[in-house]
Amino acid sequence: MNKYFLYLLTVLFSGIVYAQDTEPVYTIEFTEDNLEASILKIEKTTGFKFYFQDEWIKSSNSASITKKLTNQPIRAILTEVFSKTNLNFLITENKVILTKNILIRTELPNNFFDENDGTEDSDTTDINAPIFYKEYNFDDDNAITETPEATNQKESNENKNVENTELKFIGKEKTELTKNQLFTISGYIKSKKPQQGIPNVLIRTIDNKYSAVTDMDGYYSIKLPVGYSKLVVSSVGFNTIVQETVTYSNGEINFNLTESVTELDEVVVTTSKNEVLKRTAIGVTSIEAEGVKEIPMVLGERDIVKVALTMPGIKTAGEGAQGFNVRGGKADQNLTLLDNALVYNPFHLFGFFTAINPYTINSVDIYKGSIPTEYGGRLSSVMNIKTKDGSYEKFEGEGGIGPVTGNLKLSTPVFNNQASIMVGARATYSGWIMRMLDDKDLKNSDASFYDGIIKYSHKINDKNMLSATGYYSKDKFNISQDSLYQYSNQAATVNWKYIVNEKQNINVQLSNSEYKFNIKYVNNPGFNSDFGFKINETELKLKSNYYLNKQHRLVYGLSSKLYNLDPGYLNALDTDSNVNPVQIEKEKGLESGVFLEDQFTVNEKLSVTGGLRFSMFNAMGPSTQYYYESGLPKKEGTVTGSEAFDKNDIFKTYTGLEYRFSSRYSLSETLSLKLSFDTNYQYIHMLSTNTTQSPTDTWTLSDINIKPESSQQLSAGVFKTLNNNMYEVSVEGYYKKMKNVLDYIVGAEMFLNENIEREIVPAQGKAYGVEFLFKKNSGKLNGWLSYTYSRAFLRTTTAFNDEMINNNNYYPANFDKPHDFSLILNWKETKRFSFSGNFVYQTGRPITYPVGIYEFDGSKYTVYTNRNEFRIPDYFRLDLGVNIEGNHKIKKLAHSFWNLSVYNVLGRNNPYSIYFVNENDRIRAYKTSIFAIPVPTLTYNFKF
Amino acid sequence: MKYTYLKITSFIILGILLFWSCTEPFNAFSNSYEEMLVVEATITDSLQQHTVKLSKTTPIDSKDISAESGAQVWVESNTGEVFQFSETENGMYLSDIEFAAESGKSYTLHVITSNGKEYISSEENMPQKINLDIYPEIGQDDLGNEGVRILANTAATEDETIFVKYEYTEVYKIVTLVNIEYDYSLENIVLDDNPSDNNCYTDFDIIITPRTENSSICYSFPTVSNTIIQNSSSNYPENRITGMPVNFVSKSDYKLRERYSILVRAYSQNYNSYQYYSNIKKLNSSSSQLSFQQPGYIQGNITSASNNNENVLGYFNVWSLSQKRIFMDHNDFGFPQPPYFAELDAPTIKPEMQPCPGPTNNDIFFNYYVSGYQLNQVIPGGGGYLLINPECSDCRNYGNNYPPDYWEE
Repeated sequence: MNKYFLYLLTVLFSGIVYAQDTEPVYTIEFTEDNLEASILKIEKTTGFKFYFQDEWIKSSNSASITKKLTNQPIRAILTEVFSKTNLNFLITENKVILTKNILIRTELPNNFFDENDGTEDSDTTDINAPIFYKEYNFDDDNAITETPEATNQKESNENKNVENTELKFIGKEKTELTKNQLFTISGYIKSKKPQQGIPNVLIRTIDNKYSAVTDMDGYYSIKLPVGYSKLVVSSVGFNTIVQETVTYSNGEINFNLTESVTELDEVVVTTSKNEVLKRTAIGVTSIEAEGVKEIPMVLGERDIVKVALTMPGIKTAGEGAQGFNVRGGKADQNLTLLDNALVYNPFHLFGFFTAINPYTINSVDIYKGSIPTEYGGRLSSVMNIKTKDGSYEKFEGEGGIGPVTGNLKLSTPVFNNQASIMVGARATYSGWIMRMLDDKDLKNSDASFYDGIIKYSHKINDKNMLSATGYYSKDKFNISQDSLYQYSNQAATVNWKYIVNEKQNINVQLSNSEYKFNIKYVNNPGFNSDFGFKINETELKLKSNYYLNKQHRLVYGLSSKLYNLDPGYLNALDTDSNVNPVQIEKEKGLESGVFLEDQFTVNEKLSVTGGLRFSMFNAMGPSTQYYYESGLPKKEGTVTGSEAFDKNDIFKTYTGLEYRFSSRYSLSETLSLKLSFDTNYQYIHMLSTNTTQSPTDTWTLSDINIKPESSQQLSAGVFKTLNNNMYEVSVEGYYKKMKNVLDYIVGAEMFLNENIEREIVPAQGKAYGVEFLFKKNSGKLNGWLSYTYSRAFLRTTTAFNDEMINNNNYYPANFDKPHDFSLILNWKETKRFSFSGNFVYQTGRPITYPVGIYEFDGSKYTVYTNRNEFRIPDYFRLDLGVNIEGNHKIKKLAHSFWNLSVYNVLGRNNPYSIYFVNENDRIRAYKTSIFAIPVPTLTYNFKF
Repeated sequence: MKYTYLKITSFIILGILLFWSCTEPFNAFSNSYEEMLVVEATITDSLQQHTVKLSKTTPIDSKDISAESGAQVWVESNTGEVFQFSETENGMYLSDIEFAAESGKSYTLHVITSNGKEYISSEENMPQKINLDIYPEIGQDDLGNEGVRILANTAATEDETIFVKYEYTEVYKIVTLVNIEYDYSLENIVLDDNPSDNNCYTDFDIIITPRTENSSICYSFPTVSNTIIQNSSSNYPENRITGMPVNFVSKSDYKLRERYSILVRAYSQNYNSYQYYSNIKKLNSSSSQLSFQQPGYIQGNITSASNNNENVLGYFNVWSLSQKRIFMDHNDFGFPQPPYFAELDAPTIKPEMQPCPGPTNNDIFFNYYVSGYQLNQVIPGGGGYLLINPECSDCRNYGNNYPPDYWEE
């Protein structure tokens, strides 16, 4: 028995094939034969059939062969013939398969099909007879030419960026396979640590002919042609995997991505270049948690949400102000979701901190436009905060200790690693700040907050995934000895994902959210009272993804949300209180939506996403609704009657058809143009007469007298990557129109007001802007520069003098800050030391000033400018920070780093607010600044 | 209570801001003064000379009121009548003739200021007439004090919602504790340069004459309401406003001691005029923390003829007047007689008094004289003088010493 090794050209060929039969030998003579002639000769002589692509042979410049080979085995003959070419070969039975550049390994990887053994495809791994079609997908120009040596070297290197994995075979070879047949390969892409699906990972063939992106949970589905493909699996923050596959039929491949250590500490904004360039959505910002830990933050909190708010088009009122404004929208027009449950006020301490434990956040996506049809009910944006899954493998923890807060996150697997639990908690010990203050009144005050989150994830089987998140946050203030101020958020959500087949999956989601605040007024006999507000909503949502074919991916579903509001109450706290209890009538409403979206890949260059959302709002009783004289403003004096509605009576229904359209056209591999148009409706409105959002702002539902808000936005953008994705540049512009936005008549009163409609006046809004972003994604120096020029205006259209604001002319909205510039830079000196800086500039906010006094009807009154005619001084701030890491030994017990940051290095006295106080009949102006001095903070962070 | 709560909440918000922050005075006003014309013009259906008051806004930190003088002011009706107004004192313009605005006509106010700028009001119609009835009732004020509430019932004369602004004028009778029969004056006064040493050489002659004028029974100078009191019938059935509190007099208030009279004028307004006043009131009354409500310019019905964006304050009102007067005193409600509004102070100046003994030349006497003390009695034989503080002895500082025409005892 002749038995010898078959080996391929390279030394480190990892697979060894033992021939079972006697090796036949052949004698063959080449005389000035070119490659093609040689192959024909071999075929004729040996009976082996060659499979290859014609161009390879034709393009091969190898010299012709003149040689006689006597009694040589086929392998020796081929080695001789192809030695001067860049072709490799594989011998199986009576076939010779040629490949260009790469090697084909014939050994089945140990973990072939990964953890999905037992699926229907797992028995289809006949590797002895691969069929390679001539037209298999390989293109010399784009090849990632990793030699096996290089791969092996890299494997010993922790910082590798590209992982080449072993060839995988998918399905079973069938003799009746036809050319160009496409098969669906699906699977799950997860990170190794923590074990959780990664969204927005791009899977593509190396020639970019076929590609797919994972969904929110890490699942993907890609069409691949029969035969050989080389897949590149990439996502920012993770090592790229290059996976060679041979496809015989539909099948499954799962990937584990390793976080790339070199990118771990960089600011990573948005996903890969392909994501930015290829997705049709415009105005979408994604921030991943791992990228932001070095940005200097006030009081030592690494706050991913705050980082997201530095992106162009998003404005905050500066420190001390909660809420944010997206593209000229009001602060109540943002849908803030935590694992798909709404959080009404995701901020602590008047906006200094995000009220979600930063260590538990995985990513934050903000849609400034192109809001997917599955979301609705807010005009301006969706901020989707997703938490991390707990580890399915081992007990892990992460935490931070700063001067104001302590943070801890723990996770552990349960049920034989089928499920995991993640718990995060944070509390403040900020009481000492108060005691340090000079002011005697404030010394006695107290402020504290805490929040907790728990997440349970369970992989029931390959088709069913269950996850549940619970969240609670609470803030408490005790400013003077006689008032106690509290607010809290709670949210709970259960999500069940069912994979019907490789083409379809279904999501069922049930969530409940609540926000409430109250103020207790104590130590003041006779006036001790409790004032408060509460809103609660419960939503059921069904959503399905359907991969119709290579060109169409459908998302459709429906959702329904029940609101219950307690718009205000005032109760006496003790029996001798003179306070008359007040209970404003509760509000109830049902908001429902049906949505359908088609992600249509027209061709390689053009893709279009079109969607419709039909939304409906039912205002429900019990309720008393007032009718007003038509042709007159809604005022106490113009009431014509009222009507009481019983429990669950639907007394008013509004509907809206919302169009969402976006498209992308690739001019080249690195340049694409996008255009989008969307419309939105909003049925719930925040009531706030403050210039900035505050925790005491209340909400109200649309009813007979309060119409839903609506908006239309047109946006366009140019996206470009440079230098192989090192730089990313984008310019986006938008124009937005809004209708029925709530504005308030001069002198509006909101607290405990039974008839809000008398205080508000519907306004039209218009907003436009240009957003510029320049980002350097990698290298020693990385970060981004963002600049936005934008304007936001409102105007009333009423015919009545007393509802008219600024004579019905457009006036700047409270958050109209035309120039907004942010520069965020990181400098990674060594692996252990890195520096970061953060500069922010914003135009001052508009304000209405008192401009004089006058005597009228026997009294003196103050006269004000037109609404928002003046501006407070501009805002700017520089923060600097340094990160010192422990060593990078992977096997270490705990990984830790110190962060020293200085907030407001320049000590700029940024005005937070300017307000006017009537002191002894004279109006005086005061300016309030928060952190008018540099604030240094040292934080210790650890991870195990 | 709603009002109190607003204040509380505002305070808390402010407090929280203060806690994190530093607060400093901010020079907001140096560039922010805008001069605007303020117009207060009302014509009614009562036949009289009507007034128009023109003034200008003043800077925030100024205490003066600046009148708009030298303007041409007239009112035109849609039937072609023109009523000219002439300036009688700084910024006050009185119609040259008596006239009454009539229902069915519309009126427009025209103003041309001395710098040539022209202002014009929108056309205003006479609203429907209303019937007013007022009555007192024992009740409490917001703080729980007992007293008399002056309530108004107002009814529409047409089948429409009424909007009413109330004003009142109070007059009450004053009877001094002491009736003074003499006037006195000092002549040939020599003043002590240094009253604190024990050298007394203040000297004067006392001239005593019989008082011919009544100084013990007066009728107070009228006091006019200075807050905006308004209501509309929309909260009441049948286009009437019932039990509208217009004024409150505490049972211990001196006003009820002798006799009290209140005149309530109810002006029927149109909706816009009503709303203008209620906005003005709202914006300036609810809280001292002005930044926590939405301030702004309130558009009235007067605009600049040349510049549409110029803000003009004030309103040209065409109102229908209905008025009622009632009289009352504490006996009507069974209240005890309220105390006199001042404590009686009746010093006796005697010759032997320190530090300057002597028959007349007394520093103390001189000081009482300067303070307006009245001479009640001369103690015979140079025994000294009985003086009475002026509050309790001479009512002419507080009212007229003759009854008004309408006065009813």
